[in-house]
Amino acid sequence: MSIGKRLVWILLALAGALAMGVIATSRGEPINAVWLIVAAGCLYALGYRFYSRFIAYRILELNDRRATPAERLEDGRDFVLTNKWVVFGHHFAAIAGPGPLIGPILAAQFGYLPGTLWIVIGGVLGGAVQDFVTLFCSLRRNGKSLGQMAKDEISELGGYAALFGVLFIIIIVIAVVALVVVNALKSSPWGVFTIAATIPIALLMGIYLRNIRPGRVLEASLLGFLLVMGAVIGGRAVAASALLAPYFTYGAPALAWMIIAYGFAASVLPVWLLLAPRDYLSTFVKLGTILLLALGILAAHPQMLLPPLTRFTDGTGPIFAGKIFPFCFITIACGAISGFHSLIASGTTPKLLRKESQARLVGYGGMLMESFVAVMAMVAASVLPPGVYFAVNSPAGVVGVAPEKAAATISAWGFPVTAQQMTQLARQIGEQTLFNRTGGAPSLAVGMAHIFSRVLGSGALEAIWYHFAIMFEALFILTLLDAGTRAGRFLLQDLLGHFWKPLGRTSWYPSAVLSSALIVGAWGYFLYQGVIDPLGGINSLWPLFGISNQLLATIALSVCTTILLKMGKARWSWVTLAPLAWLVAVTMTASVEKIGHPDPRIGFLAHARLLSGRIATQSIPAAQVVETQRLIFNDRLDAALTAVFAALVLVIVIESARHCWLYALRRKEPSLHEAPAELSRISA
Amino acid sequence: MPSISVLLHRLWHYLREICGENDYARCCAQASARGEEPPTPETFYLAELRRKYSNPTRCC
Repeated sequence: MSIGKRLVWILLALAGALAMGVIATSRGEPINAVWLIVAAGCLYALGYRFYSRFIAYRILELNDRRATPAERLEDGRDFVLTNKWVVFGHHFAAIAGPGPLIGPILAAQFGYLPGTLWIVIGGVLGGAVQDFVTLFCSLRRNGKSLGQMAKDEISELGGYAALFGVLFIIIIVIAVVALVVVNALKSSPWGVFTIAATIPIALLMGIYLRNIRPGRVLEASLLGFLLVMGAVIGGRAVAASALLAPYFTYGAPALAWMIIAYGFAASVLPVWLLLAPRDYLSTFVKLGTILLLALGILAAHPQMLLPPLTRFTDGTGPIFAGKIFPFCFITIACGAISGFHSLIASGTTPKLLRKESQARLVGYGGMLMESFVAVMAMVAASVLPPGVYFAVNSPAGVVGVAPEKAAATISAWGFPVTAQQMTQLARQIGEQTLFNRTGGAPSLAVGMAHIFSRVLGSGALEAIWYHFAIMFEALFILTLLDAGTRAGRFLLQDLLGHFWKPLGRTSWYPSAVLSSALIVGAWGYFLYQGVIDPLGGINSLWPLFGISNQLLATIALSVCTTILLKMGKARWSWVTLAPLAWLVAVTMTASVEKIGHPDPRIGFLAHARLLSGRIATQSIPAAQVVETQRLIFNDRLDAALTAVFAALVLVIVIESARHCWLYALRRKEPSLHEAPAELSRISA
Repeated sequence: MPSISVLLHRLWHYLREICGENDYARCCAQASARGEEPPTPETFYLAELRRKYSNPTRCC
């Protein structure tokens, strides 16, 4: 490296260290959001340049003379030699879901510091490593899936653990993101109208793409985008109309039923009619809005009003209960490390790469980009006055239903806010109320609207920006719901096919309907449970989602570590072993606390005991006994599910460790299941 | 340094590529190289969607 280049990297390191220092040591007065962007940008650049290069060439020994699966098996369908930036775009669009936007918003209850540090450091040393090494492992195995690699490289038991892990995470993730949408749309005729309008728009796009101009995705997406923007703007008139508004005003349970019915319909309808066009539309809107948010933050360079640390580091947070360790690390999964990414990194992506070295850009670089999205979400949450942030996100079960009482409770925590201030804000953004909107989406939308309207210099547009942001979030959450239900349906059909062959045929309509109903029923149950939960649902469902996501990351990192050992890279195995050890500690601690913690707001069983006691002492009105018994059952079910997740983590880690131990003692010969190496015919 | 029109052309090509709009032409070229009848645009589009959405394609 030349002296000039070295100097640039040294300056970058110093700038990163300075920005990190400012973030970590500032107390008492707000800092500018640009410090966060600089710190994250510098650490990502250093991580990519040095750490990913070290992993790529010292450990994995990426070899561009070795033909990739896309070259050896090219068939024009699954295996296609593709430009690296196109693969990067596909991969990033696939991994960037609502998680990196919502997780940081929820974790901001601890203040911006813990979440930001976890996002940046966890992303560079954990998440990006997981994605990169998983992609590499799959690349050397003809693009095999994570489950298949777990089965081949660890054991059959490991393979089954991966399969069940995937199924569970799909169910929980859909339930929790659907709950986020429900909480964002309840009592919001403008929001409901906009999101409802995306369904006929997607159907129209589907017909256009199939029958009018087959495969013309750009044209159809542009048409769809214009119509959706029309719906966002037109939503104001609908919300203001005494005639129309009641048709689009619903409470949370009704919205939950609508989403369940929609999920079922999307799963059984032909993919071209609803799922695919919605996916195209949401991908463009998602990428465009993320870019817009990044530019908005740079242009507005807002002050961060949220303190670096809040009083809720003691575990008494209103949004979810529990201390920073382990709950910050499971609340922010996507954005720092997300097991779900390993499914994408071992799915389509490895079948498209032209050269092995491109796995570094796509796997490691793609995750850094996602991590940056999470930092922007943290900024969007932190620019809100803390009182407003907590008023929007605190559930009614904690702060009360009446606005005055909620505002007084939040002010008593040291975050001043008034009912009038919240009413004014709600009016400004075209909503009836902003209290008790737990879930992250509304506060992200308020933060984004604040940033966008500040850049464009007009508060008059704040309502449009708010509903644009809600549309953006709901659109790709519903796409995840569609795509996840469908993928879950295929997985379930695969399992059911072992019991009765026709059930495994994805094209057999009765089987499609049955498996769709089972998957939708499973996530619908958890969604409804979240909706009726007096603590807002997020308190119980988001940790379950975090634990299940980190379970999948544990499986991926166990597979990667085992493969590194088999490759004779034991001395470098800490690269995946360190994040694995951290995740096992986080997941197991969170699981134990969620099951058995004596605080009813943390432990599921303690909460069930509390409610049982209330029934026994007749301190609950007779009319609410049945509902309370249902809550008790739900608590026990959540505890059982958490125990299953923890057991799956232990199974995969013990299986992996056992095999590694046998290799170390030379009692078992390590056998890599790599595809045979072939010389590439493509020049670099 | 490339001109703005070249950059716009590249961006357009990138967008078409990332949307899969060039895939059909590639499929036709491969089919004709093998001496096979290429599928209709509609058949190709539907087959691509079936393939794409049978696995997890969108993350949380």
